[in-house]
Amino acid sequence: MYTNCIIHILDFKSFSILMLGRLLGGVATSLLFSVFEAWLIGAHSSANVMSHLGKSFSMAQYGNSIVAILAGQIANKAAEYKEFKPASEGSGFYTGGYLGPFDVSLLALIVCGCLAFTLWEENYGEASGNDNASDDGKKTSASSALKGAFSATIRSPDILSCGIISSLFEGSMYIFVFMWTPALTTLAKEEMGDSFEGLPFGVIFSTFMVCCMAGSSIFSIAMEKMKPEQLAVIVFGVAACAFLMVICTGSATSSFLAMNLFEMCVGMYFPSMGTMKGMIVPEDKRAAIYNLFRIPLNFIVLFSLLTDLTPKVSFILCCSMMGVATVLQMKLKARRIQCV
Amino acid sequence: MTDYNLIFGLVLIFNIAVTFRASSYWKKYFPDSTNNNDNNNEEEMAPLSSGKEDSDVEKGQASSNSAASDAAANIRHSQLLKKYLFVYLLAAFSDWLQGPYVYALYDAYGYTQHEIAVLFVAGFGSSMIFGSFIGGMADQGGRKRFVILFAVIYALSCMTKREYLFYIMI
Repeated sequence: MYTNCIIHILDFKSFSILMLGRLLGGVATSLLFSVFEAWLIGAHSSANVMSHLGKSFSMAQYGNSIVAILAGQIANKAAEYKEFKPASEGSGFYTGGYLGPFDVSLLALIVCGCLAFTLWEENYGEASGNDNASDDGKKTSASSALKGAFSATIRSPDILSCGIISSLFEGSMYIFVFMWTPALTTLAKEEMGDSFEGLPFGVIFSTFMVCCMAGSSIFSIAMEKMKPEQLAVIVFGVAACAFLMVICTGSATSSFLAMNLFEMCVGMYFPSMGTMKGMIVPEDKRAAIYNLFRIPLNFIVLFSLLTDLTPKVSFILCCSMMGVATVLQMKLKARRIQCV
Repeated sequence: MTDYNLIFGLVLIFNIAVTFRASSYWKKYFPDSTNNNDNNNEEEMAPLSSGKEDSDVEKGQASSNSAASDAAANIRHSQLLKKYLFVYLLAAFSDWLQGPYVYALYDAYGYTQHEIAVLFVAGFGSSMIFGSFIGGMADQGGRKRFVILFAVIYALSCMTKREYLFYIMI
């Protein structure tokens, strides 16, 4: 009785600590998805190698995929390394098990921070990098940077479509990121019944990442004959079909294969969209506009996760969003090719 | 029953084949197939004159760039790319490590799907709020500084996963 009571108090307290962790993690991911890319483009601009930007994006995506594949396998090993249990009898301090990957991650982050500190030179958005404008730059608040980004986006139909399309695609990607664990667990439990002993999440994740890398390579091959605007139409179409397959099939194996097909689209999406955004979005407002793009994305995610949709309904939602993205991308492609 | 290791192996083989086809090795052995590609002349020419190159670049990245400016630009580019990849890939690695087990960890702590969804949404919500101005702040405050800030914040987030440890400390 006494220990039960303690556990209830701990539950409330620990939930808020996990919540704090998620909030900090959200800040970190918003930095990961905007500032690194902004630094890279700024550094390309100051080194006069903007024409290599497409190559850099595809290299970064290759490296990212290899690292992701390794990370999945290492996480699997780290999770199986020690059993998940309290450190001592009755202690609330857990050790081992699914915490293993987080320990390795912590170590990697420390090294990452030190390397950035020693290797990189500082770079700024063009408007405030200018000496004469530096006083104005300091006065310009973050919210006016956002306003500038907003008006630039509203004025250009190309920037606007870019933003909507990337929100739709990345929205379904995040729904997928949340849903694959419960979706595959449910299917595996149905098929295996009592013999179910958990899934090798690291290996599954690693397989997704292999597909992602294959998609990145398919992008490079396709670029020999195509423009990124054209390829993106195919990517969104295939992604819609992949979600349709996940919805229609009932077995764990075929769902898993369809999920892998979607991951291949993810691999093609990032270099295509990165190259398109590099050409369409103006350099001085780049980081601000990229974060503006994330606002509709987060509303999609908020809506779909908080309404407690079942995996199946959320995959139907993803499928329709991919349909819309395909149509918008076809229009964007028509406009861009007319201009050239 | 699904054999995840088998599927991993098969997909990996497919990936290696496609990646090889896309790589510069393929272009070395089958040069005909890629004669319209402009990015694979990295080691062809030593830099001839760097003065000409600057004026070329100022004119814009027209298709008339000379081989000399290409070679010099390629060297600058590969140095830049190396520096970037070291830092970026470590950041990505730490992010990917957490990816497969966030849901599973919360699940192991005994939270329901709804509670886990709330935690996920909190993360997305925070990235929405901070993300809306943090990019603009980084444009002005320095992108390198914000990358270091990223490492510190994410490390703290990592430590909160040991929820019970934190409870004891507080």
